[in-house]
Amino acid sequence: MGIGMKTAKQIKKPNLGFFVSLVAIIAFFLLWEWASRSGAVDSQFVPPVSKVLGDAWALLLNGTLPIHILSSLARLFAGLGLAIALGIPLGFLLGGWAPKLAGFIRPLLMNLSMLNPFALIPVFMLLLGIGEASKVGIIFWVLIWPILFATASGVMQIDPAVVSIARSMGAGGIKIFFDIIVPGTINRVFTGLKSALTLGFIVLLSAEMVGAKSGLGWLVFNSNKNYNITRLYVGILFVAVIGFLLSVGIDKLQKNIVVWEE
Amino acid sequence: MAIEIEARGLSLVYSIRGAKNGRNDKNGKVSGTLTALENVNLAVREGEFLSLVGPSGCGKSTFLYILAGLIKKTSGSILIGGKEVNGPALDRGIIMQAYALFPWRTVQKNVEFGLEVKKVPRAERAGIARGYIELVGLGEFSDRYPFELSGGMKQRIAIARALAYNPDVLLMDEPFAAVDEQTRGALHEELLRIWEETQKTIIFVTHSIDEAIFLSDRVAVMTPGPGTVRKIVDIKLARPRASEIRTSAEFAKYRREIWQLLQNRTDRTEAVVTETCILESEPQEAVI
Ligand SMILES: Nc1ncnc2c1ncn2[C@@H]1O[C@H](COP(=O)(O)OP(=O)(O)OP(=O)(O)O)[C@@H](O)[C@H]1O
Ligand SMILES: [Mg+2]
Repeated sequence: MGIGMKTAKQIKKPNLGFFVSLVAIIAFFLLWEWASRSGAVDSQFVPPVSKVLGDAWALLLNGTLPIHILSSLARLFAGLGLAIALGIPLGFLLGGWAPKLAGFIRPLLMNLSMLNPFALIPVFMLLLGIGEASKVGIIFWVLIWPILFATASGVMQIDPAVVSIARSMGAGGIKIFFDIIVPGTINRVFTGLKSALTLGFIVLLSAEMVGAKSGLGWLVFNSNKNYNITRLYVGILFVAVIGFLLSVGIDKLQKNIVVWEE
Repeated sequence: MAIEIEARGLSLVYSIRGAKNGRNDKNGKVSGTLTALENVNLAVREGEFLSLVGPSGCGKSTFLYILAGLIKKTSGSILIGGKEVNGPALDRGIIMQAYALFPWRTVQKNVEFGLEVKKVPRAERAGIARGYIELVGLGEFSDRYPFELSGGMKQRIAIARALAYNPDVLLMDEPFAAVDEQTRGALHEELLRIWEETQKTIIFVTHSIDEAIFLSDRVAVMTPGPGTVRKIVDIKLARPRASEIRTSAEFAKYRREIWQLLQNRTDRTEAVVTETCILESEPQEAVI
């Protein structure tokens, strides 16, 4: 029996995907460096990657980049925190007590939230001013719907037999909520969170291009305005890196919490 | 600890959503409802192993759900240990056909669930759970999650989970329907051993006549829906029973009797009856 029961988790696959990505990135950088230096592309618009990385390093050391990264992340997590604090409880309510309502309003609200969030930026500015509130507000708006509906649909897809079994053993409402509903929903919540976070980050960058004084979005926008092309690339590079780290981070968190699924 | 169960004039009517506008009116039945059980009378003795057989849809699962306190009867009475059933309680354990293990709990934690509800202290409950996991032969899997187990293993964990909090009554709904012949045989012997050890009252639902005969003190044969008990067959095979008993003449006699009871269920011609038959085991099957 023991041999047949080795699980996929125990048979560690060689991390080929990671290796391939690494090679691809290095190859891309080399090509970039060569194209810029050889004059294949105009180095005024595409400075060599070594210069971009050098500037990036300098901006990291003098504290400029950390300030912008932190202010972007602060806005992102403030919006995310609010979206979670409101979206998850509302999702539980909707999925648990009004599943029919959820099915009914879901398409409506999904369309509403799919309404180009970039177009909403001016609306939020109008309502909340050009300060932090409007930026956090828009992140909140973009993130809450996927989180709310992921939670509601998570509750709705819980196997009723599992709830019945728990009840048959005399479990009360509180135990059923924390021992069945919450763990039964959490994987879906993460899935909603993942798709939401990527979009939220992009929307944040756009919002920072209007009336902000800091943030990665501002850095990119400002560099462009001042024809500081190298810094523009630094900004873009860090947008990519932070976006990547965010998605890897949440993936890791999900895998560490939801250990019971393949 | 053994406990008796009695159903008197028990009926259950489901209301069906979407049929409210009276369009489903057939055969003079009230629209929007479905009578799953009608006037069921059944007395299960203390410590008895009773099987329930009957055509698909005759209300066997419904009956177990009522006993487990998961759905409310429409009329009549249902007594467990002399007391009217009023919701779920720890004196009964139900084992569902679909296993219904908690995917987010390890085997160990699955088996501990009922003990947590019972507020058994942590250390004690770990010990009890381990004992039952070992009893069903899965000691080395206690830290695994359900997705890492085969169907038969899940089934045994579901049994261990129901046994662990020590209910007086076990309600088993086609518990071995999904496992292979050999595993089933092993599980039968395991179940009988546990039953003989613990003196529980067991109600066992199955589509397999052989399984019902092999395990039971008595087999209750139900009529097609709305279900009632047609007849109770006393199985007077000696215990402990070994698997060879299945080939005995006595066994064949019971098999024929129950088969006949199920066949005659509509009192129509034989041809019609066999056509609509949904039984898994043929009466001749094991008389080789
Ligand atoms: N929740 C429900 N709502 C309405 N009708 C139901 C419900 N559950 C079961 N029924 C109906 O009640 C009848 C009895 O169902 P039940 O599941 O008890 O049958 P069963 O004897 O267990 O069948 P099987 O052998 O196929 O498992 C069926 O006609 C079924 O359609
Ligand atoms: Mg059934």
